This record gives sequence, C-alpha cells and structure tokens, in this order.
Amino acid sequence: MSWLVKTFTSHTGRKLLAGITGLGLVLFLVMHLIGNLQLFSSSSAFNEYAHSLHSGFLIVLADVGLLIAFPLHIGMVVWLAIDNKKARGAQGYKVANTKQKRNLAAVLASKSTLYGGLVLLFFVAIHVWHFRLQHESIANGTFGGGVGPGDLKSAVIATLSKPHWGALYAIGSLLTGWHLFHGIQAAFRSFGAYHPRYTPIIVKGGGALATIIGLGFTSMPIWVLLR
Amino acid sequence: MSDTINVTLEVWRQPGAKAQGRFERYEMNGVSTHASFLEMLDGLNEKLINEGKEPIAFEHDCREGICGSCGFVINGQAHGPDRGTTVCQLHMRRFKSGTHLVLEPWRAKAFPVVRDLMVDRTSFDKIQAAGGYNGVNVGNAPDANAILVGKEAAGEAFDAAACIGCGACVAACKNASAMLFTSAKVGHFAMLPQGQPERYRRVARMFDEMEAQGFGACSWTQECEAACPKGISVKWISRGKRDYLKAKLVKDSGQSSDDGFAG
Ligand code: HEM
Ligand code: FES
Repeated sequence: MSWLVKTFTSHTGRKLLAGITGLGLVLFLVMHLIGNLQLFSSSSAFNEYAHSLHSGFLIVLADVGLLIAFPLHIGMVVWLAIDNKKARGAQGYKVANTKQKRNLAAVLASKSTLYGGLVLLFFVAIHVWHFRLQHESIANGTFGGGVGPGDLKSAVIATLSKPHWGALYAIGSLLTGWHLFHGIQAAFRSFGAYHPRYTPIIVKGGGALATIIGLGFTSMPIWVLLR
Repeated sequence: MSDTINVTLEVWRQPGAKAQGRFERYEMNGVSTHASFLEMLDGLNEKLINEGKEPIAFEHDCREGICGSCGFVINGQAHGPDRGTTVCQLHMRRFKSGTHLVLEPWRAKAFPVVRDLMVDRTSFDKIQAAGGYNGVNVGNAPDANAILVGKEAAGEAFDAAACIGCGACVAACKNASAMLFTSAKVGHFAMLPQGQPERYRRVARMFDEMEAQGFGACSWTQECEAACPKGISVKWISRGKRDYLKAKLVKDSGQSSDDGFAG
C-alpha cells in the first residue's frame, strides 16, 4: 500500500491526480454548459431540463463526483504550489523576463493558473450558494423577487440581472476559460502523453474547448444584462 | 559603427554561502564588441584586482559552450538574451551602448550560492548518481557497431544527451524544477538498447532524488526549453513522466530506492 501512497504524493503523482480531476471537472463543465444554454430558448425548456436533472440520478452522480474531484484538484495543486514556491529559495530574482517565443497568452496562462484558480474557488463558492443551496427555496417559491415556485429560469435571470452578480459571473466564466486555456493541454502532459502528431491537436483543441467554455458561460450573464 | 560600447553592470555580490548578498554597480567603458561576455567580466575583474577589491566569482571552463560550467542570469534571462547559447558564447556586440545589465546567480533552493554568481550544483550530481548510468560492467570500449541502433533512435538519444547540465532550466523555471535536466538524462538512456534493462528503476530513482533535492514540480510553462542552451525539448519531460508513472504503477520494479540497482 505504501507504494501507492508514495506514488500519488510524489510531484508527478500529484500532477496526475490534478490532471485527472481537472479533466473530470472539464467534462462536467461541458455538460453544464450544454444544459445551461437552454436558458436562451424562449420556451420553458430550461425549467424542464432543470427539473428532470434534479429528479434524476445524474445530479447525485455530479454532486458526488464534484465533491471528490474539486477538493482533490485544489488540494493537489495547492500542495504542489507550496513545494514550488519553496524550491526557488529565500532569494528570488530582481528582474523577471523570458526567452520564450510562444504566444504571450499561452505563456501568461501557464504562469497564472494558480492565481486564476484561487479566484475561481471564490466564484464557485458563491455560485454553489446561489443555485445549488437555494434550490429548495426556488422550488417552493420562497426565493423572492417575484420568482414563482420551480421557475429556475426567472431565478437565474433575477440573480444575473443585478449588475454586481452579472459582472461576477462574467468574470468567473472568463477566468474558467483562461484557466483551461492552459489546463487542458497541461493535463495531458501530466499523464505523460506526448506524440508529434497528436500533441499539437491537443494543444489547439484544448485551447478551442477552453475558449468555447469560457465564452459560452460568459454569454449568459451578458445576455441577461443586455436584455 | 564604433567597436566599443559602455555598459552598466549591476552584479549580485555575496562573499560566501552564509553571507548576506547585495547588488553592486560597475561602469564598464570602452568594452570591445568583439569580446565575449565572460571576457568583459575578466576585464572588470582585472580592474577590481588592481583596485585591491575582490573579483566577481563566476564559473567557467571550456568557454566554447560545451562543458556546462558557466551560467548566470542576465536581465532575467538565463545565459542572457540569445537562445541556444551559453553565457560564455554570448558576445558584447549583442548589446547597445548604455545598456544596464543585472547579473544574478541561478536562484534555487537546491542550488545554494557559493559566492557571487557561482552556485553549488551538487544536487544535479546526486540526481545523476541515483541512476544516470549503466549499472553493468562493459569492459573495454566495444566495437562501435556491436549493438545496432536505428538512425532515428540514435538521433533522439543524442538530442537528449546534448544536455550539459548547466542548470539554466532550473534557473528559468518559476518552480525551480529540474524536470528538463532529469528527463533528458533519463530519456537519453531510454532511447538506447543499453538503457533498457534498468530503464524503469532508473527513472523512478532519478525522479525521486530530484524531488528529495528540493526542486519544484513541472507546471508546463516551457521556460526551460527556451532557456536551454542546447534546445532540449520539453517532450522529454512528457516521456520521462510516462516512464515514471509506468515504473511506479505498472512495472514490477522501481517502487523503492533499494530494489537492487546494479552497480
Ligand atoms: C472550474 C473548475 C476547474 C477546472 C475545470 C479545472 C481544470 C484544471 C485542469 C484540466 C488542469 C490541468 C491539470 C494538470 O496540470 O495536470 C488544472 C490545473 C490547475 N488548477 Fe484547476 N480547475 C478548476 C478549478 C481550480 C481551482 C478552484 C483552483 C484553485 C486552487 C485550481 C488550481 C489549479 C492549478 C494551480 C493548476 C496547475 C497546477 C500546476 O501547474 O502545477 N483549479 N485545472
Ligand atoms: S564555460 Fe563551458 S559551457 Fe560555458
């Protein structure tokens, strides 16, 4: 057993866990985005989607999965970040610079993953409180703001139309995209995956998926604010 | 175009490993643009010695970019602004007159400063000693073609073996990670038939030693590849990780450091 613990607590093992949980979270975000985009439909599709989601098994699976993956992801990356900070030593550099010729966005994204992630953590906490923990009050009509029982769509619109919440959701969504812009390709690197033909596809595809996720989620608070 | 320039240097001075360090400024006037960077520092050191002051300690040996002795950070760039270049191969013609240059030693907990721009890279030796060799007695030098190696594998192995162990990868990495160095050393053996018998034990031991020496993990910023004077690709890191994970999770060797590595 101890070999297993040693393996997954090593730097490479921790990165492996961060990568697996990270990609698990990405999978969740893709489903979450597809579901949420029904907000744009004029019919009651969004409410029906939400209702069937909450009466089914999928939400339990998602809850349990997220409760495992999210803390594990954060735990591993924060633990790594502590080791990484220590590795520089007490005296840092006076001048910061680079010799990289990759595009600036890719370089910056790779260096800001932790900081973006920490802001994300704060955003996710607020988000879960808004729509997951208040699900009961939305269901039984005590949410307020003229939101009828079970009318999740109106509850979402009521929340996002407050400019400070709308702005927070837009920023949180953009940050998610920024985080994944580096994160998706990094996860494959953490698995030790390298191939001269597939790696460029993963890098480009990961960037594209991150952009879709980031802009996809951002479109909702923007749409509500502009309505 | 004149053949001399003036530069201002701001150099990290630290009299000893435990001593407090600080930056000191030096004006260098009339530096020949044909001089190498280290020759310019030689000139400065001559001046300091003549003034009865301590010269600046920096490491160097071959001065032709092959030994890996030299290396420090110039304006935040390991080995200076040129890619694929050690600092001994950097020349003053690269700089404009009036340039301000900040010289700092490699910064890593695993590379403690010995003096000024000189750091102790024993940690690299420790990683190498953990498995970066073939643990079999090979006798006399064998005939070059006694073991046939395919052209592509030989080329790849050579690319990894080009690592001169200078430490620029660690210096440039925001995590002071030694992943590129260690992976290149691991990868060089992993490409060759002679490296196969100990392949997985080697990677497990060298990676574990790297962590024990206090280097950071890889965040995939790819600074190391850009800083490497030999242009060693980050693909070696992916390959090294793959072998490490295989060694730890799949293979029946490599779990512990005392599992009978020959030698
Ligand atoms: C929306 C939820 C999130 C998703 C989908 C996600 C996804 C990912 C992915 C796929 C990776 C790449 C893993 C790897 O490098 O192997 C990653 C890395 C990372 N994540 Fe997240 N993440 C999320 C939330 C967070 C949060 C809340 C934090 C804050 C602590 C965080 C911090 C990090 C850090 C620091 C890394 C880089 C680790 C390193 O480079 O060493 N993530 N994330
Ligand atoms: S002195 Fe040998 S590589 Fe620079």
